Amino acid sequence: MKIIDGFVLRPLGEEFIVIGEGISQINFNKMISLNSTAAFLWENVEGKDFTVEDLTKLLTDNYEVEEERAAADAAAIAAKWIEAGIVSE
Amino acid sequence: MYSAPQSSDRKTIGDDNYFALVDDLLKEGREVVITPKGNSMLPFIRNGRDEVVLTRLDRPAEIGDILLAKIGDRFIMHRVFAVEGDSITLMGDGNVYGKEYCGHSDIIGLVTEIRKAGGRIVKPGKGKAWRLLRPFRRYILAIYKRVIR
Repeated sequence: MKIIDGFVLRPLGEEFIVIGEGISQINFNKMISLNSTAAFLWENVEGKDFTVEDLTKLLTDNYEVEEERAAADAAAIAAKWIEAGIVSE
Repeated sequence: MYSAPQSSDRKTIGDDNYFALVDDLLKEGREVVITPKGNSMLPFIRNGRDEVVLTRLDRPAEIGDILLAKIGDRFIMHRVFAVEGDSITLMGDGNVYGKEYCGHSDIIGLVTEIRKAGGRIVKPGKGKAWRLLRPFRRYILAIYKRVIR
């Protein structure tokens, strides 16, 4: 899967939000916000083709988390991103 | 400490960071849609229900404009009550007395559209009739709040 062109991460306090760079009207009610872990994943797969396994590895390599939990979290976040229309399958 | 990656699709209105982002996006020439909080712009903007479209104000403020402004530490979305040079007086449509004062540099954006919860889109107008009704506002608002809310 891949982040769809034009979606970029912007910091918002301690969180991050995803904004379509070319979009002329930004609706804060439909905005996608990421916590720091999700933003870390995003930054590391930006511009690349990636899999749920890649996300899992990023989590286990960089955080103290068991592989099983990391895999479940990675699958969940990937599904959310696809559902939100910011990542293509 | 690991916290699971999270992606949520709603950001509630609130702090300085939020408005700083609104300000940045407006400065980039984009429109921003937010859901204002509070009852100070009743009956036109209802707390947490109606959305407003904001754009950057590229002309001097005029009486009747609904502006988002930073006044001290507060972010206020109220209607322009008076303009004298750089001194702008704001007053919420839903307020009976309170006014706020700011300058042009405190303005973040202008409300260009109100999107009612039911989907109806309203141009904000200049609120002239409402301004003329000011002596009666308290009664109209009291009835409104009793009937609608």
